[in-house]
Amino acid sequence: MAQPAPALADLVLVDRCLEGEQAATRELFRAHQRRVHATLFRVLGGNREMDDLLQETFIQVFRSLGGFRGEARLSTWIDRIAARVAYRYLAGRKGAAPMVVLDEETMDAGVRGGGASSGGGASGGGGAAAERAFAREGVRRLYAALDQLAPASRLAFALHELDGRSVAEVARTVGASVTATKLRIWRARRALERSAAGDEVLAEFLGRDAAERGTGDRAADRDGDAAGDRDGDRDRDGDGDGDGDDKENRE
Amino acid sequence: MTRLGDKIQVVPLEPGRLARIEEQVLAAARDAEARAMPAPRPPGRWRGWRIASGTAAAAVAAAALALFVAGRAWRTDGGARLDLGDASVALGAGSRVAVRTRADGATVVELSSGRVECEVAPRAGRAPFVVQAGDVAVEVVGTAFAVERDDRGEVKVGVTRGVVRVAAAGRAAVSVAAGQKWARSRGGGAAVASARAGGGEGGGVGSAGGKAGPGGAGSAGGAAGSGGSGGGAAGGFGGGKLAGSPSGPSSTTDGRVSAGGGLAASAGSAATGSSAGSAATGSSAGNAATGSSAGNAATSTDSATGAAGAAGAAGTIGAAASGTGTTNGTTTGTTGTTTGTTTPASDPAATGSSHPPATGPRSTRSTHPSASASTSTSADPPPDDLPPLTCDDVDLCRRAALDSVGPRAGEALYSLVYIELFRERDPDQAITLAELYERRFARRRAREAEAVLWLRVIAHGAAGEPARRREAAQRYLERHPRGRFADAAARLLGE
Repeated sequence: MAQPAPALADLVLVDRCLEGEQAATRELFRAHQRRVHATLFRVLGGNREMDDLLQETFIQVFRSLGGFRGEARLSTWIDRIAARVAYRYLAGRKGAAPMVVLDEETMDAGVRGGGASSGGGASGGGGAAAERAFAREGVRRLYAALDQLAPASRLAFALHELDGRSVAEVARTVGASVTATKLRIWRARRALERSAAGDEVLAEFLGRDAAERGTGDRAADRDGDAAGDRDGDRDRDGDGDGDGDDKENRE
Repeated sequence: MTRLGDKIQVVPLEPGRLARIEEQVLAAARDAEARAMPAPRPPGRWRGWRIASGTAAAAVAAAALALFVAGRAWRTDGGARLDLGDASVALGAGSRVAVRTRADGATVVELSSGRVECEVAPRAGRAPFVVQAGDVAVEVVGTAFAVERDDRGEVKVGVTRGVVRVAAAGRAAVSVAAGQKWARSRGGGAAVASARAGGGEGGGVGSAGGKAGPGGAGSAGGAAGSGGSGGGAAGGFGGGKLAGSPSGPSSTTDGRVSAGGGLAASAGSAATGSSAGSAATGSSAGNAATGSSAGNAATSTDSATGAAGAAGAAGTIGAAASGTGTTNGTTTGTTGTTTGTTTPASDPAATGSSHPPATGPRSTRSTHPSASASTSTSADPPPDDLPPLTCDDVDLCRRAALDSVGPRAGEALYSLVYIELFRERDPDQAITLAELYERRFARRRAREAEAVLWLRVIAHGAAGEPARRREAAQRYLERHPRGRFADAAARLLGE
């Protein structure tokens, strides 16, 4: 699969970092930290080790920077490292207690679904609060269910379903084939289905996503075969600077 | 974003926590950079290298390894491999080798006799790696190469990958690139031969440097001189053609060769013995370095042999390759004559066609408008002291320069500037690329960084931009007040 040429700005920035320019190092961190944090957050859920994981990712980025060969966008290259950090974290904590330990405040801020925008309305205050509580519980149960998955399946599923990447992009990010990635996503969906079958809150939270899972599989196939090639190695932010995460900008 | 993903909103990190993470990451990045630099080592101490037997044969031979504890020197009756961390040195049978650390931290493999084959990681960010064979020092840029020294003092260097700098006592250092061989006889002549262009990859080590002739006038180039394209002595280090044959341009079109004055010396002296003999009286090391006549070079080397110790030779490592240090075949073809008198490097005709070794015969500066541009020829010294090109093709250079990072990208970008300026005759493009180099490698202290600055001066001259040319010269002087082209830059500014 042909890879698009890396942005010259990426190469210039990396060279400056390799030359030991402190300002360049800071610039690189600031350009990519929000996107990396968002990815880690969506894959792993909000947890108290997020600081360490973000830090570990960028430490590895700078340790490995000399190995960046410009074969992909810098954002893609960094995301691969973030994915490895996330995978190791998941693999390392296998069997441990659930890691999503969001407190009330975090959950209120971290859940969409009628919270922030309508919360202040006098007429809909009670409904909004109930909706937030439901969404909070839904997120908790989603990540609890994800905790039961194999790390590779969870990583692929979260990057695809929660982080919005195409199957092909997920495959490149985790260093697996498209076929293997599809299989991992499919397994994760099936496992979530089983969890939702006995959990009404989770089932309702998954809502139409779960209901549409049959078509979703087919969509994933199309995604991997065509859309993945279409978007190539693009930066999800589209601007290459890694700081334009739409969701974050909406915050 | 899928619908499920939309239901999860990322909670941003608090600014205080983020700032703390940023500082910790930056500190780690500084540590990583520091670790990448070679640790300073006390001067003159012997390092206890680990010896590892590589192959089954080497394992057997290791049993026959004699270790001289006092000097951390090794002699192999069979063969063995030294693991030096970022370098691996295979010792030939019967080789005598010592390893020491020089004052500047360089790893020095001293080859008393025999043969070593080295696999060395690129040296950017690392201490130099040098093989010292008598008064010949071979400095590694990052390559695989072999050095052989026989009992008579003949030294041969063969490079299979990358580039090395060879500095013989009393000579300017020359670059020997992959596929090329360098040889220097005990008696004098030294030469670089291109195995790729020559008569095949014959086995063994030959005497491209030639047998020592009377009076030190190296007859090394004899084969080349008489045959025009002779491959040196039989059983040579590859048997390639000797570039710099005095028989004319046609015989030197294989000159993807970097050759020191010794090359011209060999050829010239071989052509006319009288010339060599007469020149011997006035020879000096300096003459050899600047590519004066054949006899001079040969004799000067001869006289220097033995006088120059290891330290002296080491001192020449990395020194600027002046004069004909990077003369290519075209130069020799132009200046070498059957009378054996080689045009000194100071001759514009000679220097104008010399260029870094990686460039092909077509890229002769003498054919470039910039070389004859009135705006530049008077102020710009002939850039015959440029670093070697690491790529010889626009596409390859562009790919290496624009699709990679680090030192390799810097070297490729410099090569691209050079090619655009002198081969493609596109000074505007050269200026653009030089500007890109300066943006990407603003702090780089490599030799090519200085060269790019000076090439930009030339490019502005060729582009008819005197004001920008002066600005570029001013910037060159600010960064390299003692640089190779500082005098020329000062003259240009004084015009």
